[in-house]
Amino acid sequence: MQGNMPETSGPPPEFVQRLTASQSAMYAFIVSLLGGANDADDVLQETNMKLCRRWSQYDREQPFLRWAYAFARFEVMAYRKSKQRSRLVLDNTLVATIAGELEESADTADSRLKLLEVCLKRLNARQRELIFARYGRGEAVRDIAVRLSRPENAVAALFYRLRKILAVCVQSLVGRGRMA
Amino acid sequence: MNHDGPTFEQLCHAVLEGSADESDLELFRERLHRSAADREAYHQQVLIHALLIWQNGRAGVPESLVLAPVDHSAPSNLIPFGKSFPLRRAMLAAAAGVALLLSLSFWLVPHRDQQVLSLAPAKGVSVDILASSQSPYKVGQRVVLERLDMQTGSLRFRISSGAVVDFEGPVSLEFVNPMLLRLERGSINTDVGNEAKGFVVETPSANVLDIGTSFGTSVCADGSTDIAVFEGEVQVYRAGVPLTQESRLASLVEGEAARMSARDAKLERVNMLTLKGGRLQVRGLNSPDSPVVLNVSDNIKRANFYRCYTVVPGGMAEGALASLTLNSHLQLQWHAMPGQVFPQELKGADLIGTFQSFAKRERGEPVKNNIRLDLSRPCAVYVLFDTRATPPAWLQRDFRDTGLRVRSGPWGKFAREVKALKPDAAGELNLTHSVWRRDVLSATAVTLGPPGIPGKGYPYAMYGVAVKALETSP
Repeated sequence: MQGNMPETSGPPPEFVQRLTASQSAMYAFIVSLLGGANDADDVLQETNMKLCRRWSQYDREQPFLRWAYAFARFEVMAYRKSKQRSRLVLDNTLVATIAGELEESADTADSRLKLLEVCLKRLNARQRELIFARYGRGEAVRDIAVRLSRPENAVAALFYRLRKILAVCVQSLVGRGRMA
Repeated sequence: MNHDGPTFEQLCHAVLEGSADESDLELFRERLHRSAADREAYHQQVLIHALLIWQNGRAGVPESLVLAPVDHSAPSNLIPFGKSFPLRRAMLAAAAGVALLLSLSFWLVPHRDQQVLSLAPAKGVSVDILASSQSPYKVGQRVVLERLDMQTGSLRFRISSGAVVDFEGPVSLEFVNPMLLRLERGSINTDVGNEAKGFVVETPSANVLDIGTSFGTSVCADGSTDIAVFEGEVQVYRAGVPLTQESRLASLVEGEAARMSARDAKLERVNMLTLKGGRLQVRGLNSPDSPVVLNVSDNIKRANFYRCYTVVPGGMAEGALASLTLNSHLQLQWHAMPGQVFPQELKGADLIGTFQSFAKRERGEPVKNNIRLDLSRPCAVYVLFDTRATPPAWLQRDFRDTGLRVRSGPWGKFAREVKALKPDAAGELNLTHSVWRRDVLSATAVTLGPPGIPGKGYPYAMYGVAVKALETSP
């Protein structure tokens, strides 16, 4: 998208499509830099606004997500500045390190949500039900532990393992460059 | 946290759950600074955590991301907007255009204009797409829907009220408002969780009022409605009547299923319900039936009795659901014996879910209930019998013990069936079942008797059933 059109005409549908398709990857990027999902949607919204104001600067020959990550990183830093009195999970050095590491894998990031769907199907019914309870129904890990009559630590460890299984699966599918 | 300090796994969990205190955070940062492996583990955990939140629509997606479906050309399997097609499509196109315009104007103007956005009349209902196959919508997208007609493919979405709807085509749905869906054709599964109590699914013959639950609704070809409850409770009303206590026909709880007849508006028990594997879901009308089990029924004749048998074609496997009925809030599943793999012989069999109340005593007397299986072809019928009980005469006569053993569990600690049982090494209560087999050599009906022996109490588990087609030589 070259800067032939004035910005006030609004981003073209192609840009909006790219932006929409990148939302999950941008959200994951922001959550990673914030160290949790709290306020990640606000930061994503700010990032989206900036991207749409600057759409004409985007060079369509370049990977969209790398361009978008730069804006997201800036918005994360702005958010951190505004929250300086609050507890922040990561320090500035870690944010920079982690952002750099994530930017390395930006080229495949927007395919991960689809691959996650594939990997979820590979879990057994019990594992899927646990994932659905936590993320679908939004149950707290503590409540799930009570319901299962198991210690919270044990259930937390279970979720850690499940996320690891899914991450390894997604990574292997990314590596193979195909949908299973 | 343990005495030696928290592990990275525990720290990571506390961070993602937002429960880490300042000393946890300090340790966490130290670990991330020091170890590339820990950073890699954090990448993995936070990525999947974020994607699962996003996939399930729990991220607060900005309202301004309300966009029309990206693919504006209607695919062949989708008839976008219903009966009065040209007018409605024009209206919806206009609405989508307005939504798109509003969304884009939102990007380009300062934040104070948010009020303008919220004042704009929205047509249809806003939904987040959670899963999609052969549909024009993408996972993570937020769309405004007024109507949806899909012949094939599947979709899972969260309505703005919080209800999650899941279906595979064919389905015709009208989105009346965030708390009311009109199902004209096909099957849908609805999970309202705690957020959308009072959600209503309206069909040509029934109104189903959800009071915090997960349930399936199917509209059959004749307009009758099947309702199956997987968790919690729903209330059933005839179509077109106000939803009052007086007009309520029945309350159904988990493990119960009923059909509202379109012909005479009467509610009757559904004996057998075919489910999709994996999650608790009614299947789409196009999904294949069991190739072997034509019907499951019993001789129980009681008013307001709606317990149903479930059939999951090919569903027998490690972790398969043993019963729709919850047991102290736990779902019973079939598992291999500790240290063993699940018996190959049972894998892939059609799994028939039974219910514990089949084995209950009535007025102090053991029940004499029978289950009838109508079978379409030569097959092996398996009965999974609680090893603590004495096998009844019908089982010993018609079946042989294969020597295979499986477990049911986890059982709730207050369940009558496991009163004398001690938890296993994992702290769970599981029961051992012997696997009995009978070969049926032609299409026929097979009767399974009561689990108990007349004159004795029955503090044991109800038996499970599986059926597998026999390999026949060409």
